[in-house]
Amino acid sequence: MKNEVDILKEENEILKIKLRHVQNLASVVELEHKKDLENHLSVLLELEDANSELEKIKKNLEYTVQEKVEEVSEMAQILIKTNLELEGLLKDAKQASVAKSEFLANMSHEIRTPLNGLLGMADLLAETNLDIEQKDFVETMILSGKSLLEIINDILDFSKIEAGQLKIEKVEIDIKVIANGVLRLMQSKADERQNTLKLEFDDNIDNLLIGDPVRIQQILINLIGNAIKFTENGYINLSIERLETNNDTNSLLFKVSDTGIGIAAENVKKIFEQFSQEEGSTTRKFGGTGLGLSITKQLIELMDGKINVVSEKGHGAEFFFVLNFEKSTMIKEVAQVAKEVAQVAKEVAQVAESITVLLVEDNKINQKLAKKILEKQNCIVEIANNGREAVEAFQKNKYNIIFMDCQMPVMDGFEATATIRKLDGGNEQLIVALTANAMDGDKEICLAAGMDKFLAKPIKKQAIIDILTSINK
Amino acid sequence: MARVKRPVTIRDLVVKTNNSNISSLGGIVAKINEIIRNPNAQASDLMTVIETDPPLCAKVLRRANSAVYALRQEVKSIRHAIVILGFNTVRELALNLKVGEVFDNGVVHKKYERRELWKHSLAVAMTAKNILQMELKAQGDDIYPVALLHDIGSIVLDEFEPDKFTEVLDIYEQDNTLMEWDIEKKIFGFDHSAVGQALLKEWKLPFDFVDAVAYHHKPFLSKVPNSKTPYILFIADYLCHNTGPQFFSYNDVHHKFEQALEKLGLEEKAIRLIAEDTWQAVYKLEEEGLLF
Ligand SMILES: [Fe+2]
Ligand SMILES: [Fe+2]
Repeated sequence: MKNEVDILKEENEILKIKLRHVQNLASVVELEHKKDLENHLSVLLELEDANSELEKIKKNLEYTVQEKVEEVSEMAQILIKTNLELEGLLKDAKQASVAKSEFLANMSHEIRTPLNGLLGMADLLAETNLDIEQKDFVETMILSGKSLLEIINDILDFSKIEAGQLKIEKVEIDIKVIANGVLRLMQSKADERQNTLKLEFDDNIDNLLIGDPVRIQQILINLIGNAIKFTENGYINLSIERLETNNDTNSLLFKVSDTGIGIAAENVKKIFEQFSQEEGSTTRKFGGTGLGLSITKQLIELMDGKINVVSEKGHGAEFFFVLNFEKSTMIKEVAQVAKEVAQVAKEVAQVAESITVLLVEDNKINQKLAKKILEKQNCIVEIANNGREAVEAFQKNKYNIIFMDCQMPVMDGFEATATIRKLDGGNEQLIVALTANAMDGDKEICLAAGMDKFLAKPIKKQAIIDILTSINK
Repeated sequence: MARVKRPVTIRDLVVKTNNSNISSLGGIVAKINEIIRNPNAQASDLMTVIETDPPLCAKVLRRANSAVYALRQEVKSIRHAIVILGFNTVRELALNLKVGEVFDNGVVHKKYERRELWKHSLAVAMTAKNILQMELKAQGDDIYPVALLHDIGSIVLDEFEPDKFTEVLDIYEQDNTLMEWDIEKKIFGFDHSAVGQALLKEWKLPFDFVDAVAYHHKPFLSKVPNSKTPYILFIADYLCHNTGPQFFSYNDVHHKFEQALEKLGLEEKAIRLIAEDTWQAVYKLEEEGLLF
C-alpha cells in the first residue's frame, strides 16, 4: 500500500511538474504567438500598404503617362505654331530691316548730293569779298555743313553695311602709304587738341598687299578721330605690326592707342554698339553720330577681323585688330625673282654699265639718296631738278629709265611725262613715277598720265633692283 | 600521408576552417541571430536571410511541408512558412538545416559518426531551449544557435586532424575515467571548446555566444556576468552526454551539474523530465530521417 501511495505521490509530483511545464510553455508560446501575430499583422499591413501604394503608383503612372503624352503633344503643337509665327516674324523683320536700310542708304545719298552742292557754293562764297561778320557766317555755315556731311556719310555707310550693300574691294595697296596719309589727314585735328600723332610701322610688312584702301583708311580715320576726340594734350599712336613673317599672307596687328580719358570697364563691351558712345551725354559733349565705332567694327568684320579694346577709365584706350592681307601677286613674282636676283645681280652689274638713268627730283636729299642707290647698281645717273629740265634732258639724250617725281615746281611729273610722250621716241621711254603721298588714286593718276611704273618714296634699294632687273629682261 | 611536423595550433585550424565550406556557417548564424536581437527586425528580414541562401531556402520549404507539421495547405514561400509555422519555428528550422549541413557527411570513425555529433548538438539545443521555456519561462532565442554550435570544435578537429581525433576517442574508450576534453588537451594541447571559442570569435559572433561555447564544460568560468546561458548549456550538454544523444559520455562532473542546477534554482527531476521528452522528439526525427 505504502509503495502504491509512494508511486501515486511520485506520479502526482510528475504531473504537477508537467502541468507547470505546459503552463510555462503556454505562456511562452502565447508570447511567441503574439509576436508572430504582430509580425503577421505588420506583414499584412506592409502588403496592404504596398498594394495600395502599387495601386496608387499604377494609377498615377497611367494618369501621368497619358497626361504627359497629351501635354507633350500639346506643347509640340504650340511650339510648331510659335515656330511658324516666329519664322514669319523673322522674315518680316529681315525684310523690314533691309527695306529700312535701303531707304536710309538711298535717303543719305539723296541728301548728300544737294549738301555737297551747298558746301561747294559756300566755299565759293567764302572766296568772295565779304565783311568780317559775313565771313564768320559763311565759315560757320561751312563748318556746320561739313559736320552734317560727316554724319550723313556715317549713316550712309552704316545703312550700306546693314543692307549688305557694302562690298570690300580687293586691289593692290601699300599699308604704309595709307597709314601716312591718314596721319597727315588727321594732323590738323590732332593739333587742335594739342595731341601728338605718331606712327610705328613694322618694316617686315610687304609693301604691296591686296585689300580695300578706302575702308582701311576709313577704319584708321575713325579710330584715330575717336582717339583725338577723347584725348587732349596727349599722344595718339598708330602701330602696325606684322605678326608672322614666314607666310605669303601678311597678318597685320593694328593698334590705335591714346592717352585720353579712357573707357569705364562696364562700358567697354557697349562701346561698339551703334549710337553708343560711352554715355548718352558723351555724344553731346564730344560730338559725332555714335556710329563711327560701330561702323569700324563692322568694316573690320567684313574683312574677317575682330576689333577689341583695352581701356581703363582715366588711363587711355587701345583699340586693336588683326587683318590678314594676301601679298600682291606682283610681290610674289618679285619674291620669286628675288631668289634669282643673286645670280642675275652679276649680269645686272655687267649690263648695268649700259643702263642710263635720268633722275627727275626736286628735293636735293632725295636726289642724293636715289643717285647713290642707282650708282651702286652701276647705273649712269643724270639729274633733272624739275619737269622742264627733264623734258630738255630727254630731247638731248636717250635714257634707259627716267625716274620721275610727281610733285615738282616749274613743271610737275605728270605734265613732264605727258610732254615727253608727245616727243619723238617718247612713247617708248620707260618712265617710273616716284611719289611720296601715295593716296589711293595716285597710282591711277600716274598711269593715266602715261607713266609705266610706280615707286613709293622713300625709295628702297630692293624696289630699284627689281625695276632694273625687269628692264634687263 | 603528409604530416605536419609542427604541432597544429588553434590558429591553424581556424584558418583551415575558414578556407572550407564550414566557414559559411558563421555568416548565416550571425545574420539569423541579429534578427532575433534587433527589436526592429521583422519576419521579412528572416525571410531575406533564408532566401539569399537558395539551397537553405529549398530545404526549409521542404521541411515545412513535411509530415512533422502536418499542414493542410502547401507552404510555398518563406513568408508563408513564417505565417503558418511561426517566426521562431522557421528560424530554428533554418538554423538546424544550415548548421546541420556541416555535420551531414558520411565520415565514420571506428567509434563515432559525424551524424551522432549532430544528433547530440540538436538534442542539446532543443533541451536547452525547452529548459529555458518550460522552467524559466524565457524565450530561448539566444541559446538555440549557441547550443547548436557548442561542439563545433569537435567537427573541426575531426575534419582537419582525423587521426588524432580518433586517437582521442580510442584513449577515451580504454580509460573512461578520463574526461574527453582532457585527452584532447594532451593530444592537441587544447580542447574542442577552445577551438569553438576561437572559431566563433573569428566569425564575429556575439561575445556571449563565444563565452558560452568556450565554457560549456566549465560554466563557472564564464566571463559574462549574470548570464544563465552557459549554465543551461552545460546542464543540457551534461544530460545529453550522460544519458541522451551523445557520441561519448561525461564522467565525474555530476557535482558540477548539481551546482549549476542549484545556481539556477532548478530541480534535477523536472529537468530530466524535459530532457527525456525532448530526446523522444529527437529520436522520432531521426527515425523519420529528418535530422538534416
Ligand atoms: Fe563539448
Ligand atoms: Fe557536447
